[in-house]
Amino acid sequence: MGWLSGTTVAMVLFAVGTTVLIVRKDLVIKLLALGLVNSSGILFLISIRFQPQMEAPILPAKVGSAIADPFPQALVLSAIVINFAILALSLVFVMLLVERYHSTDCERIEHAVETEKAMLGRRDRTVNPSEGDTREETR
Amino acid sequence: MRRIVRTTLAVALSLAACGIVIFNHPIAEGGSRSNDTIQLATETGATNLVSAIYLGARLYDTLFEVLVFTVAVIGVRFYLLRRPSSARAAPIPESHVLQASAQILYPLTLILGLYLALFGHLSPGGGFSGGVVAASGLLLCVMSIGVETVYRRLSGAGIERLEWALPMVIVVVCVLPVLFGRPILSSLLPVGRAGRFFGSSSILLLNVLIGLKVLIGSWMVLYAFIRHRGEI
Repeated sequence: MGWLSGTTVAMVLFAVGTTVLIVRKDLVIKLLALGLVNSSGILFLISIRFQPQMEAPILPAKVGSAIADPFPQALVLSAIVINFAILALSLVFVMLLVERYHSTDCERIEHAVETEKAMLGRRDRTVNPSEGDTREETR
Repeated sequence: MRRIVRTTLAVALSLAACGIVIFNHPIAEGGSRSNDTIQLATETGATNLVSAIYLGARLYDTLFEVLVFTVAVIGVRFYLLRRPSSARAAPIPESHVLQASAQILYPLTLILGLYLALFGHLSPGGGFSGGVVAASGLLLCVMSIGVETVYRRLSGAGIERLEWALPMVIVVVCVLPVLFGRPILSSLLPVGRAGRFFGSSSILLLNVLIGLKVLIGSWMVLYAFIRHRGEI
């Protein structure tokens, strides 16, 4: 079981997260997968400087035992809070999109945006010549 | 066609990630040497080395982390407050079992959050985790006595002004050592013996401030989501 360590689990979680992130089209599921990728990064950074027989980085530790490196843990602490904040913010954006296009499917949303854009462009084309005409008349 | 490309890309990425494990097993051997850690503890007075690092040597990073959190909370409130509020919608029904157990659990969770923030420099914990634990205590409180009651009591205590004041207070605490002739971002209060409660008063102060900040920010995000949940 030597291969079963924190880094291996982190890699598997990363693979699952990226696969779901690319394959699934639902925006909420994409956000969940993004959270999974983020957690795998956190697990990876913690476990590269840790081995099972090590003590937690809190003094006083047992005499003669090695202490896990506290630096990656301090680094990762910020990632957890930022992850929470970013997840909340992107959920708000998903809520706004759902309110406007009534779907969480990203392909449907793209399609709706493109039709909207095309309609806007046609309206612009119908408006612009008349503006040109009025300008010519005023000259 | 697009689907095939996408699936192939996903599988290739996953295989690449697993390949790192198989071909280049990236486990470092060492931990920290004990001399370094003991020196770190005596310099900052905190026996929890993680908080000795992120509130001592890397306070600059933590400062910007707090600012990023503040910006995210502002963003959530900015986008959600423009949507119609669903205050008139039917309140979320909770079962009696959930209500009763939340009533028992929320004081304990709030006290646990306070403990984690206060003793973050001596034992596992810290301002960030303490704040989040206390915010989940507030969520349990919402489950037991209703969201509007909790909101009225908290905003009666001026919690929103406190939210905007706290980042400023944290920045001032970080800058203030300049007045005493010490470099910026160094510890404001004197360092005592490591392992005592007041052994590292500035880390204690920063932990409490950050805990309050995270508690209020998380509460505001939660309240914005509950208030503007919309109707399906």
